[in-house]
Amino acid sequence: MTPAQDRQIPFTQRIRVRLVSAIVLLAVCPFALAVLALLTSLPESVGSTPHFMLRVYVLGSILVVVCVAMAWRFADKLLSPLLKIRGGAEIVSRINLSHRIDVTTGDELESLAADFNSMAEALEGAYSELEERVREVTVSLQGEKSRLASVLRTMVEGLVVLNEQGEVLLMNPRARAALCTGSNPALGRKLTQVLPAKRVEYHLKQLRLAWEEGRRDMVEPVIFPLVGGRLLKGVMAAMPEHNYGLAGYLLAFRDLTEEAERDKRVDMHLRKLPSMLRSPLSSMQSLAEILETRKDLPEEKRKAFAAALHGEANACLKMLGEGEEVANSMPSALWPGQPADAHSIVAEALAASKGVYAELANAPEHLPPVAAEPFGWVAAMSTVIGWLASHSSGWSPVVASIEAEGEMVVTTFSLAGAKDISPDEMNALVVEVEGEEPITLYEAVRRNRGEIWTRSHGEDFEVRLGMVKASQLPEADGGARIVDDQPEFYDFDLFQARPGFETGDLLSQDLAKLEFVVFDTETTGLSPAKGDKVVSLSGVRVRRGKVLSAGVFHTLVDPGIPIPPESVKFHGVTDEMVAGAPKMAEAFEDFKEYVGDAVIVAHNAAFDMKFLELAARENDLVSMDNPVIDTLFLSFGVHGDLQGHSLDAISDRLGVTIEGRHTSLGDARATAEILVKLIPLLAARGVRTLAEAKAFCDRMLILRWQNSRY
Amino acid sequence: MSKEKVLVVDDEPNILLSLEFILEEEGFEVKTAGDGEEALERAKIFAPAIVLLDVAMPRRDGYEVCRILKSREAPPKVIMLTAKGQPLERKKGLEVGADSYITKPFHAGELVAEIRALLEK
Repeated sequence: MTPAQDRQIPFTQRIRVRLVSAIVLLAVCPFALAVLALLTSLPESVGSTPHFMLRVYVLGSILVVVCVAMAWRFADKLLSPLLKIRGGAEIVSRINLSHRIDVTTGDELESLAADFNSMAEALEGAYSELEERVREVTVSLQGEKSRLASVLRTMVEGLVVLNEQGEVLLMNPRARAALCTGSNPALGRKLTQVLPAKRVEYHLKQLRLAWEEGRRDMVEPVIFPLVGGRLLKGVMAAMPEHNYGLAGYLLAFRDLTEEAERDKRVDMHLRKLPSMLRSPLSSMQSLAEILETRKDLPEEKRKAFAAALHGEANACLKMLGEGEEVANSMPSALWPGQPADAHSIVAEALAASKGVYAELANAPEHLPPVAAEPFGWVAAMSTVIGWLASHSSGWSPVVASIEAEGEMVVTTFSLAGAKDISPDEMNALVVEVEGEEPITLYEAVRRNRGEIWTRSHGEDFEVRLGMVKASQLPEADGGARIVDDQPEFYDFDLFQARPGFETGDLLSQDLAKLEFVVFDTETTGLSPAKGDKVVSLSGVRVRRGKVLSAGVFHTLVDPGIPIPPESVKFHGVTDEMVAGAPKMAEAFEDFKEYVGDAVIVAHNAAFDMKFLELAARENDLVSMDNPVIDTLFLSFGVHGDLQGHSLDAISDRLGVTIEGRHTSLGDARATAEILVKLIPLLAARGVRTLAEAKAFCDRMLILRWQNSRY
Repeated sequence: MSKEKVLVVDDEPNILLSLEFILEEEGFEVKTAGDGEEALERAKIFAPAIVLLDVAMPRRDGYEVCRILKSREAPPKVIMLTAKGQPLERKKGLEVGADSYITKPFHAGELVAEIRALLEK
């Protein structure tokens, strides 16, 4: 941001001139009349003396000059506190209740200002009480929001909420992981820009139709095959508003890519296996029939048929082998595994075996994580412990030990002096868990990708359970992984979509209803024409007079030249930080997509726009021709009589706090807040539409230019 | 009495091998074809009374071959042989004009009985 030139425009001049001329007229007219009357009533001889006339004229002139000077001073004394009061009143009434009028004239004007200040104070008190209550409600809403956020965060499904126009208002982390690429946020964009457009439109249409026909709870199953072979499957539904209108839509989906791949393989091999086997088996049957029934076959024929039979049998075996391979790769019969700690599984199993004399003898401190469904293992191990304990002579415990062996982590449960124990009994062992279907111990171990076997050392009997190391699994079930991130919320009141404007119609639209993108850049210096470059670019969306907290655009930009130390001191962006950041050409294209057809806003827009224009020109890109509005000129027009139009001065006046001043995102946010506060002030001056605002900016530009010549 | 002519069409050489042997033993005059195109060529010259036609074949599939055969003058009787036993396949086969339908795998006796039954019609 270039420092604003804080100069005042003589807005008050006109009023001052009017006031002075009124006073002068009032003071001079009686004098002139008196002189006229004197001249007509004087004797001819005296009245016609030139010497006397001269004296009257000189006296009259001096009187006029004195009158004008006094009137000027008087007007100044009267006018300046009045203007102060007027400006202050406007600020208090519209934007900043903490603003106070400072008038020390010692007269009625001062007491007027004091009265006004005390009224403002009372107002502010009432307002802060109201704010306190709003804060309380907000806190409770925030609580709800964060509870909702944690539900959304842990969901295995991707979840996207759309408004009626199909624009994305919310997505949970999983949806973001599946749908978002690059620095451009999906929030605020249409779903058709994120997923295959035709399909999205088709399903939205189905939902709209169902809604209109009164089938409001319809759930539409959807599938999105994406470029690159990924497949999303889920449902869409309409969301009602509190007054039973249509608020928007919901999309819940799962990434079926892995499962689809698996299904494809299963389809290729297992499902086709029977029909693939039919032909060779058919041949085999005919050949076998011939060999069986025609005992008198010539040797040569018999050999040929036998060889053919052999060949077909081999073909069958090969197909079976392929099918087996596919069957083994299918995890559906296995429980989903997650990285788990073998030590805590064994400890839990020992603790769960109540009334059993069992203990953990030794375990290394650092065990590699195993791929397991922990509860399943705990239940299986408890069954083993219980079985061993039932064969105990009474004084010897079941002793557990854990060790890492090759690809497995093996737990050994051993019992010294085991009586009448036979490994065959293990076949009959059943893992029973309340509320679950009982399964055999072997099945429980198999489902957990484990191995179980026994070993005897003289009187000692051991049951060994092998758990597969997590590193052996290519990926612990992808679908169940938690994407550890917060969901992104758009403001939910944006269920009201932005009004769909005709492009030509944009200029006549109400400012309060328009969509703006307020942006700011940080640069290597102040002279774009002399080669200075952008180092960071941020944009914030303003819709329906609200600054949207989510869906901001922010990126560092690699300027391709070193950043001078004095600029680093200013914005804190260093060469190291921009290394690997996108180049301006890429950032520009992303930003253009982000802006879409919104109105562009910046503080001292000429400066920042220059960088965008140069970026387009230097990289042969299509430049942005959106309408541009400058908050510097807007502020100047609204408070031209007040000092200071730098971002800091305006923020201070309008009660905007800047977080992260001199970062592009912080400044863009502050500018957006300023824009939102200026809109009602502009309306009070008859500036309501975009066309009027543009004309207003242009007028201020000319005024400033004229002013700068003094 | 001249031998009845049977054309066996299948892309599995071992099926051709065994069916040719079995049908010749049963007293038919047998020719074989390994795909649909070949079958249509053979049928022109050989003029079989019966065509045993596999459904799944390279080049032209069994349905198309059946349709073309049935559109010719003095069409042969057609028995479709298929690895697929779904009702839809059967319906499709009968719609293109097949006279009978046998699902693989089958017994030789079954097939011979079916051929004789069709010839007597």
